[in-house]
Amino acid sequence: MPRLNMLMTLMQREAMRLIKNPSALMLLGLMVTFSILLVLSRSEKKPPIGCWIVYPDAFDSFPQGEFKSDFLKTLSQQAKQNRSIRMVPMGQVPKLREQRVYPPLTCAIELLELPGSSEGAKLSIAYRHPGTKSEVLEPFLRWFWPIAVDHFGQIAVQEKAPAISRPLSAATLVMEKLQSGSVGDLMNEDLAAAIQLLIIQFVACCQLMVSFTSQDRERGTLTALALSPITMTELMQAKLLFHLGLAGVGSACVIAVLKPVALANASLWVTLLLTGMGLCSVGLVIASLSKSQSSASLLALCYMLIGAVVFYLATRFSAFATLKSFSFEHYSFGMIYVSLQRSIPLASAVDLRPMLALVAVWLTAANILFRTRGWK
Amino acid sequence: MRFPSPTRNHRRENPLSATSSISNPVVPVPRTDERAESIVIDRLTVKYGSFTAVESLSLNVRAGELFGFLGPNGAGKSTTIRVLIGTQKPTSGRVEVAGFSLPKDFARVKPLFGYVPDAENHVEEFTGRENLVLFAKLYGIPLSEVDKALGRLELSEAADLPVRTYSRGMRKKLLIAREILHRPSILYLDEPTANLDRHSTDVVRKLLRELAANGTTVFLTTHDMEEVEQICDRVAILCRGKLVECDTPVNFMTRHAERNVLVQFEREGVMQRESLDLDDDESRERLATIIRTEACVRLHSQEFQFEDVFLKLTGQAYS
Repeated sequence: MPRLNMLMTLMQREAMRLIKNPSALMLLGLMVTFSILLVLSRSEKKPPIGCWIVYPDAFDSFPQGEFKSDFLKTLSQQAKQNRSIRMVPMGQVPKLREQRVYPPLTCAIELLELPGSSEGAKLSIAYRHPGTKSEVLEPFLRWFWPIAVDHFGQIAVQEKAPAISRPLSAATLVMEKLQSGSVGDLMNEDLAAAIQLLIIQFVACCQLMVSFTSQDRERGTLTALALSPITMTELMQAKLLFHLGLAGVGSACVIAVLKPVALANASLWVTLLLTGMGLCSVGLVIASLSKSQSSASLLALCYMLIGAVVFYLATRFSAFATLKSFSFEHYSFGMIYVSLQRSIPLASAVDLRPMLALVAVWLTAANILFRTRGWK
Repeated sequence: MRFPSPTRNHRRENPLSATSSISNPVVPVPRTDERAESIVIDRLTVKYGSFTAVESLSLNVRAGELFGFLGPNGAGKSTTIRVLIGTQKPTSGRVEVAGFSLPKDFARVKPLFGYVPDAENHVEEFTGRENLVLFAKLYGIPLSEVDKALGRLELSEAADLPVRTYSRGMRKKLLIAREILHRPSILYLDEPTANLDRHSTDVVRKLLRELAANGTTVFLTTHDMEEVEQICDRVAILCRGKLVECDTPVNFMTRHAERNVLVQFEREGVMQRESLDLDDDESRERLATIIRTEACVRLHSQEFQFEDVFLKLTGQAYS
């Protein structure tokens, strides 16, 4: 059993090192500054969400020409009264990979086709909205709908922000949003908070763990500690507890500032804890494998680069997608993002299970390496 | 317990000096006692791949003994110490420290010894005092001991300065202060007086003698032969991983000393010098002839230093 006084002494030592280490403090300061900037940007008066009514270029080729013209004329007149609404021909909307791209904070109501037959829907439309909340469309729909119903009676909603409104698949979320090209406002608050939380976990658990442990190893301080009455288990536990605690405090601050309601989400904290433990283990493995600080930094950089390359290739080749699923970070980001939005019952959070298994593997590797060679 | 006074110590002297003497230096008298053996090394062998760092080394060090462990670079001294402190597993052989077997009982041996490495390993960001307080807490000893240890090593004034501002000598002294905090029964030191000034060297040597007098087994490696002569009860010389000889410095000197005389004389108006071995009949004859027939100006005994013994023994081992 680890002795509490030993753990406290070792954690106090780590805390004192952190306080006296300017570069580590700067990194943490950067995190805090970033959070404050996010909050400040949120508190600023945001520009109102606009809406584009996008109609086909070939006006005259529309069936029921006059009828159609009347509809557009009515819309135009209404749009003139509401400055946030613009009538835009489809050809003027820029495209990226065959997807229409709209400016940030802009909704779109696309008039896609006007079937000539009297049977079925006479108007087909597609909605687009920024971010994940379709409620932003409501003011425009409230305005658009009566006019449309008045003119056409029956309307087919063909598409409603397809990529965004689908249930979240965390791993593919970012790429899908980028590929859709239909939403200008790619960065929402939850996404920013999730990225921020992941960075904090990485800095506190991996970067500082690698930095402190490899520095200790290079100087021989770790050997001096290991030769004192503390056990290897206590030494390792103190390191894990300190870095997890640091990440926990940092995460709590960020969540309290950016999304206070998520503080009560158990799934979020479990995900953060597992992510932190995984990253601490990665840090210990890296520090145990390298004999100097510089080689540890190089190894950490390689780990990040390999991760980034695998994640990128996974979007293109299915083999890499399988490889990606062996990384706990693959699950953690999605879980953090989803848990920020809503509380997930732990029993139904399927991503936690592979994550737990992967973290356990890293922890075991760290334990073995640290005991056999990490402290010498 | 008497401590060797610097004025009485054996010094390397100018052979032409009129005050030189051929008498044996004053060294601590080895204690012939029946005290318990603190360190037992029995046929220890350590191999790194195909390279044998230590080969079948057998040594016993008694409790309260100040033991010098000498050898040229790469002789296997550090490897032996690493085995004794439990950071290196022996390839074969038996090692017992304070009655516990290593590496099996490493956890039980740890609190019993202190280890002053050659390279300092402080937490650079901390002050000297903070470094000692950390270890005092880990060993569960009162913090008042920290001030005492700092005082003994004359570091009280610099105690609250960050270690990164310390000189190399101060860092070394802080290491020693850290390792004597918990009053270990065995103290391993790797070149304890390297980088120390003359005064600090004396302080450390005096401290080591005090510790040994109080029952601490002091096991030190050094390249300072003067130190060995001055403070060590017994000395082991290691070369190429093998034990060359183990005895008291006095016995080493007695057994291996060469009695030489430097004679300076004038022949045909030219000053000449010759070094003659008194154990050699031909040289003795030559000395007698010089004294009888030449104008002998000076006659000096040439003392055989411990360093000469060391070089002789390690040289033999190499040849």
